[in-house]
Amino acid sequence: MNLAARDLRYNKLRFGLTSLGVALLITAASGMLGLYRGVVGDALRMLDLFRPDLWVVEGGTEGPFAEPSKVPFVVRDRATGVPGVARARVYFEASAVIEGENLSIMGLDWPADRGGSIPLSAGRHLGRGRGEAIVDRSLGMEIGEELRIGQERVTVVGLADRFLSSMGDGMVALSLTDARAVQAERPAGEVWMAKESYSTPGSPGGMNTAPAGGGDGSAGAMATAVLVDVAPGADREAVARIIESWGDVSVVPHSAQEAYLLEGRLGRLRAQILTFTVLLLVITGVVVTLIVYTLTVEKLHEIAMLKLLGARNRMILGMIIQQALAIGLMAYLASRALGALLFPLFPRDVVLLPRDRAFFAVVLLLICLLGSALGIDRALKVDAQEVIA
Amino acid sequence: MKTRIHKAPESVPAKTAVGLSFRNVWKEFPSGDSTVTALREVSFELMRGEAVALLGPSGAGKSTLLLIAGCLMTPTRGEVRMGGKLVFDSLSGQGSELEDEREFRRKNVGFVFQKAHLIPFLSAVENVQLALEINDERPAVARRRAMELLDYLGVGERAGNLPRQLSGGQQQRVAVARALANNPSLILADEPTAALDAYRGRQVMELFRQIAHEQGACIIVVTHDHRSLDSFDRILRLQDGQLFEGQLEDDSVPPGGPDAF
Repeated sequence: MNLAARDLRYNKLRFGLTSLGVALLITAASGMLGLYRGVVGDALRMLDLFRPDLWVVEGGTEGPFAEPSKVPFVVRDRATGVPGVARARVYFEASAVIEGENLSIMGLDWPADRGGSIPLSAGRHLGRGRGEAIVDRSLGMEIGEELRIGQERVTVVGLADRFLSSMGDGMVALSLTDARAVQAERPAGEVWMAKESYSTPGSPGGMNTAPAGGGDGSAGAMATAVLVDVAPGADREAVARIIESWGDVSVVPHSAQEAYLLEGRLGRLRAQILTFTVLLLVITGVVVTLIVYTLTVEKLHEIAMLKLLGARNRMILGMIIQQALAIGLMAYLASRALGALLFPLFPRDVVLLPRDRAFFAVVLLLICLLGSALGIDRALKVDAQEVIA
Repeated sequence: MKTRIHKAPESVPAKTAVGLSFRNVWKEFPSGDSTVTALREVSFELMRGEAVALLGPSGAGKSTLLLIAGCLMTPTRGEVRMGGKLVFDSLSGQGSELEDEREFRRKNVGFVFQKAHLIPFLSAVENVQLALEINDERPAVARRRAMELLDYLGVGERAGNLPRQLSGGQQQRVAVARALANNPSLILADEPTAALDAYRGRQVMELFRQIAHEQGACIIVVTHDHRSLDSFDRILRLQDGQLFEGQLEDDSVPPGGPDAF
């Protein structure tokens, strides 16, 4: 006879609510991890749109994903002339007020770059060097919609799926010419705020390129970085050495940029999220322990009766452990259901990998097993004669 | 102090084999710097099939005697035998022949208390079935035997009900069925009729006598219900830890006076 199942059936409302409480904690913990994975995914997806062999960044810096960086546009032309370089492009990212909202914009080095790497769900890539934009679908714009960006007017020609900045915000892609023009005419107040944010490492504004001289007319001459593709068969190291020998720039491999992004800007976010996740799991452990202990203490009389009837310890311990595991199983399934219901409503992507789900299942299993230890200890100390007491 | 021997009913069959014996059993509890003696040199023998009432005022040592008889407590000294097996012995220095007291209890002892103490989340039949399954009986067999016992005790039609859905008398019958489930050689009952009305109390006591006679079990019933003493083969009385055979005249008067009957 399965005593745990009988007790669960008898106290189903109580066990149900308990499981729901644990499920909410696990949902919160998994949601935190999922948000982190979502942020990382968005950031890496943006980097993957370019995936050059080398990033040419401001001299003495590690590039835009580690710290503010700006390089003159002319670096692109200089890099193009280096032996072994197949292509050099400008990477330009900034912020601008579009239709009253402060959005991230990306300048495409048109006509060499028409935004072909941006995944479209509707419309087309840039067909002209001025007045056209590709926008992320999350911004709620439509094909043919005309946007006012400062004094400029651009038309949405393409809607992109998940064209997001490294912080997960929807982006607008313009031709480099339009992007520079927008940058150049930013109001003084906006430029001042942008400068403040650039000086704060890790702030959302910090991801953007420097405001190119603060709107003093030299803005258009500066880019965030220059992306270099090495020709097949060419020596990447040699190309990097030549470019770095110019002295005013540094060369960083693409893999290093990814690492800077993950360990630098997102590293702090990861630390915070993991801390919260661990905290939530500890709270879950304490809650499960208290619940199982309380359930055991409330059954001490029945446990004493079982001992009086001659029940072996394994029957009594089995009841406690099975109940703890049942709470864990119900909580896990409920957290999966809650996640499926709630996570799509989050403004940011919540990405949980199969190994994350397995991790939470295993952690919950361990929590339940450890949580039942206190109850087991109490149950073992009960004397059969307590029935009579 | 004048005692009156309570005679066994004529119908009781001859009993020869000793089911339970206490010989010079003492039980002392530490209390600060001194000790409290709960049982003093208690000696008695119960034959198989004998139903015995145990009387005595509160604190006389009745519960202690039951606990020792049920292998739930060890005496300070003396010898206890059950069914020929040495349960405890400090007299000859042999110790105990029991390897596992819980297992011995499971196979040989049944308990009934003032309250039924049924497992609240199990139905009536499951409460009885559990006692059988604890004793390694197969579930299907245990279920059948549990139903037979409940039918025998007149609560078969309530087999699927939870304890809270049963009356006090029905719960106590289920508790009796549970105590009988494994055909124990010793049944210990501590005021089993205290929560029952007179009619039901009488029924339960009669049931104990019937079980003792039919199954050859020893039964010790602690009771204050003097109306039911006729149901027992013998009466033992504990006073300040000492055991006396028979009933005091005073015992025939209930705490509330003669009108309390």
